[in-house]
Amino acid sequence: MTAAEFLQQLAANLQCLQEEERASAMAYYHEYFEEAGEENEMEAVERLGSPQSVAERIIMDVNAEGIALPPKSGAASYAYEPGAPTVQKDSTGRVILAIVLIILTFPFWIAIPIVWFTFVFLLVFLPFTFFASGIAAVIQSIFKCMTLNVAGGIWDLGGGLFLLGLTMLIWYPFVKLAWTMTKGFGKMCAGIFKFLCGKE
Amino acid sequence: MFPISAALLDAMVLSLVDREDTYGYKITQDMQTAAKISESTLYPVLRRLQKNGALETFDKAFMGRNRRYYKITALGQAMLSQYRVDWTQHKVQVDSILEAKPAVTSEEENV
Repeated sequence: MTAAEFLQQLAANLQCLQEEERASAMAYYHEYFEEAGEENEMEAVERLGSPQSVAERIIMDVNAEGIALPPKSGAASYAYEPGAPTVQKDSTGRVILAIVLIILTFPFWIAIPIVWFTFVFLLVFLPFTFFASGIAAVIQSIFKCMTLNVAGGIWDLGGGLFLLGLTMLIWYPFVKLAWTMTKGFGKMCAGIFKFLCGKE
Repeated sequence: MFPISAALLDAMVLSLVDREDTYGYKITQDMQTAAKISESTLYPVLRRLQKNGALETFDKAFMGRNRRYYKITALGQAMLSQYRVDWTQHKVQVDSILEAKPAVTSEEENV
């Protein structure tokens, strides 16, 4: 078999690989034969073995990635930690699956953001309501006094001051709680996204 | 006679590249002097070492064509050092069993 035939058969046998991997392997062996030169071509082809077995070795190695580190013979442990590289195709599939799941289960999880929003809204809005009502009541009490409805005025003033006092008491803890809930919710969302996008 | 394990193969390739930046075909030829391994084993080894960050590649033109050179990284050197330590230990352990017993005196000789 000539080098050209070898390379052709090798390419055919590597069809199952990703474009990048196949191209990389083909480039290597192209160069290999170029280096061997014409005079050594026959010998080089012979020494490589069959294109099928060469392809098999490459495929096995590519598929083993992410599962195994180079097998260690003996009990020797190594000081280095060669990172097991993640296989690109897996994580893309996972992200797509994650997105589809999110969309499909939307009626279920949508309740959580709604609850969060409701709570936060209430927590922030309530003090504001009290404050507004309190001010309104105080203003109204002034008007009532001006129209000589002193009893009504005092009543409103009392109510207004009560509401304002309540506002002063609750606004800080409520807003703080709303903020904590928002932060927690944000962290939860981030955590879920990270989980769904695969462990890297 | 004595099979070369994958780890040893990695170590030897790393060592060759450590000595000098070199290219695939040359690595294959150099390895032949030490180990009668199938020449098709080298590409997966080089590829894996590169993926793990132990080797880097760069291209250099040679006589009008492109040659892909391999060069060792700091991580590769760390791995190589560890391999050398492990190999020495392994050698010593095997030798402790494999070495011939020191010559016996004539009284103790069994015929």
